[in-house]
Amino acid sequence: MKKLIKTLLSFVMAAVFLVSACGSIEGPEIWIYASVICLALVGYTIVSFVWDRKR
Amino acid sequence: MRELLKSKARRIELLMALVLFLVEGMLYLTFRSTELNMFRLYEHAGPWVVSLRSWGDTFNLPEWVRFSLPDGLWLLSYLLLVDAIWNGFNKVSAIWYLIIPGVAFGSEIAQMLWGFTGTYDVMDLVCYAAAVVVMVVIINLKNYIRKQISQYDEETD
Repeated sequence: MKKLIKTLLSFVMAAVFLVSACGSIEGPEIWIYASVICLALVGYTIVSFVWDRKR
Repeated sequence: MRELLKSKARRIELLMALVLFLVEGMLYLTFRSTELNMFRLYEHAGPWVVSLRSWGDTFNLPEWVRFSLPDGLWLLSYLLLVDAIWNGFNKVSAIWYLIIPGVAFGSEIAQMLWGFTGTYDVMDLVCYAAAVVVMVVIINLKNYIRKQISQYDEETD
């Protein structure tokens, strides 16, 4: 599998598991923390692609 | 032979991850409080959740099985999926191996220290640690089998 596909699959998996973790907690505020982590992962994914292409 | 093992190991890991995720989900749906966020999604799912929960009432499972084991299964399921995708821990895959365990351990420690959302339970930490240990054993076992097969391939060539 290519690195791009692996990274995208990993991102989807991490997002799915984060959402499932939010489901197992009471209260709506947990979604804010999960969204922040998801955004950070989106940022990491984009930066790693740009970095790879530059190299 | 090595490629065959790789794809077989991947399939086994995917299957194990799916089974563990389903078991974890069923444990939550059957035995946990309906105040959890997930029940907002399931309240429209029909009467099967109610039937499942009333069936669950007939069991008297230990607390750690109801409250902590699902967390360990959830983490192991994630680690198996990541290992099926990356087939080994390295510099590039490290972030994906570490992010969800980091969130799991981090949230539990935050619950203990700062009263973060959720309930702190030392058994949750034990189950998370057990999931990581099981994954490390699986990775080492895969590496051992891979080495044995390489040796066999070299001898037969």
